[in-house]
Amino acid sequence: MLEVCGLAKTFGVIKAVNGVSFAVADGQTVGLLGPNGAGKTTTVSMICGLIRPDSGEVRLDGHILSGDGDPVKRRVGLVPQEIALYDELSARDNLRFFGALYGLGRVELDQRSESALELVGLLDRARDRVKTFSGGMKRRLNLAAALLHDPQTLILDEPTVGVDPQSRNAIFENLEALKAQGKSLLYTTHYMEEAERLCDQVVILDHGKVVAADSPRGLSRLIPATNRLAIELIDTDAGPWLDELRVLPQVADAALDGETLRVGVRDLTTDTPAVLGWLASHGRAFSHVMTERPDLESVFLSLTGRSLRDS
Amino acid sequence: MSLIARLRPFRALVRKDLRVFLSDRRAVILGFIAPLVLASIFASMSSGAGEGGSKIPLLIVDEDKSPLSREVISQLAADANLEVKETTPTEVRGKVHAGEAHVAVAFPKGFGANAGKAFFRSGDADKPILTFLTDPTHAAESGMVRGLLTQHAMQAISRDVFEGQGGIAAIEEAERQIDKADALPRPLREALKLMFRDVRRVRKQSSTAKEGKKGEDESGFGFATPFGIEERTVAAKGQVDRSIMAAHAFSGMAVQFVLFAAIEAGIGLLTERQKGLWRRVRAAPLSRFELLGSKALSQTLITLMILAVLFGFGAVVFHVRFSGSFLGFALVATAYSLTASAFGLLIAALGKTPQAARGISVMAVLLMVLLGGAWIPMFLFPSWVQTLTLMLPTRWAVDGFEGATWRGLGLAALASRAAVLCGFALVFGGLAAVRFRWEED
Repeated sequence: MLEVCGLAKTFGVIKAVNGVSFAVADGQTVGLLGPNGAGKTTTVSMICGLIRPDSGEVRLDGHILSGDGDPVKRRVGLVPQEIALYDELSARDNLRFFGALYGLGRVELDQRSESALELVGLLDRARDRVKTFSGGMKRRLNLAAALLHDPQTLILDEPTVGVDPQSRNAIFENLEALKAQGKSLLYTTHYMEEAERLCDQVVILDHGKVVAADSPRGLSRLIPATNRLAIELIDTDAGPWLDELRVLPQVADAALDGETLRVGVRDLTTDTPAVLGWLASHGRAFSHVMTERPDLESVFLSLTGRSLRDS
Repeated sequence: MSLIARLRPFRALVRKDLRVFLSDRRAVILGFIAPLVLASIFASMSSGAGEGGSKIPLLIVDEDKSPLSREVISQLAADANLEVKETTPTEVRGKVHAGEAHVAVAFPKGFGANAGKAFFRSGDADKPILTFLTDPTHAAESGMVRGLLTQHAMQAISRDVFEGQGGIAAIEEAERQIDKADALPRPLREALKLMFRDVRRVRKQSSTAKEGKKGEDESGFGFATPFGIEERTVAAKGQVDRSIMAAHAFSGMAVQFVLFAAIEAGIGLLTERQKGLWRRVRAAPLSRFELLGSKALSQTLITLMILAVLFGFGAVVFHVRFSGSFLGFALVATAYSLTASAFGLLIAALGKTPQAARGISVMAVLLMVLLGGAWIPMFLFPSWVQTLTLMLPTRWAVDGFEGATWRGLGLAALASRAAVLCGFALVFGGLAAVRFRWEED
């Protein structure tokens, strides 16, 4: 289990991380979300022992992480955002090297290299130099290199940047398999759909602080319009009727997107009939009605006032 | 955990660096092939010069056309060190400028008439002036030509005074000047007149002797260099010029390319940082000593490999001999390797990006190599520069490698140079450790 307790770090006058706390239980995947500069990488660096925090502590299975050579670091495996592999060496030699850094002997290295290569589907390319690999293959090997020493906690820093959908799915399957083995996964990403698919919990960082932490479903309940209606209109002419709709007490917001009218309501059960009744009585015929749950992008926008990818 | 298990990460780090280096074609070419090729070229060129190759090209302009000027020019033309060509006053400057000759000498009108008179008189009045035109990049050759010209001119002029037609006029003129010189003390004036009478007597005897020995020895009397020169190279016993020049070339190139390899190592670490590899390595439970120590050791081993290949090749192909202590050579090589690897770490510590670090470190290395005497001999530098270069490791390394090869220095002398190099290694390594950025963000 990974516990992050009140981490803080200042660079010069910039407070990069300001009292960040969260936990990742065994067999759980926690997503760390935030725009560039939110403090994600600094937090990850402190968890991996690359940066000494100004205050706070990182606990791994109850042991406090301290110092560069702390054996507690064996409990963590880092998958960096960059493809951190030696192009000149073969896939197997890369894995052996990274495994040896954790003190593994020859026999263990051989066995675990084969297992890791098999897990990421690169066993048949074990002898090939990494520089001959495609981007997706390198990403998969990048993940495998963090598994050699069998860490309980895996830190994944945007592990799918720039990969094709096929490799992305392969990586997701690997991560789900690791989660099923009981590993704790901390996953930083810009991709909301990845967080929604993989994460049991999501921690949203902004300006070095945790602004929200909950399950994806729980987070979606945080924004004012927790339920949205998507209504396909037959006649889509814009006019004063849209402004009249917006001032109804049951409506949080309303916007016309092509033929689809999107309306945020406070309560799906009681407010939906009122909205649909108002449209019918004002000559706005519709052909289809759906409900939508707000995605994490909307949650982030609502909490910070900024879009995740544009910020 | 056993000691072997504890050393596994360190060993893996060193082995990885060696494998990455040996599998990087560019690094291998820069580390082994380039210094071999350049040292071979320099050794071949310099050994050719050592075996009595080229003459100094000298242009002559003779505006006097007197017997004396012709005699001096014929003596210069016969000199084994010179390649003499005559030209005209209008062409001479352009030819020197174009590099056809490195030095030109112009004999002015009246040279023959006035040189003999000036021979017996102090002061610059009426003394003929020879004009030297020199290529500024060949100042040393100009000095050599000046020396040879003085030698041959003195011989020709003194012979003319004692035997030639110009000599009697010079003596008569000198006697007239003595009569007019009221300020000259009487005893000195009488002594000078006596000397000129003796000179006239020598001329007469010489003329009589020549008539009696016609067809025999034509060599006349005249001043000559009052000593002969036998040149011997001061080097370790058994060293010949060819191997000495090769030893200098291989020492210089070794010193230079070891530092280039150190730059590559430093930039390699910066590249690892840029690629996220350093983050991944640092995520492992490794101490800072293990991280930097393994880098230092792997680079030291790479440098020792480069030195072994270079000097081995030099010994086999160019007969570079280790006339000094071989153990001393090993000490210097190891100390310089440590210095170079610490220099590489310093580059990694101070550099922000690989691109920015490369430019400035190449410039620093080229300066150190130039001032360290790796390219051109140290004696060509001004004395203050020579003193200043004692602050550079390259100077001590060149000195150490040359000492172990052609100078034939013993263990104690080489160990002292190795100790100085170890001092440089400590300074560079200490600075690198202090300035290294450990915070990874």
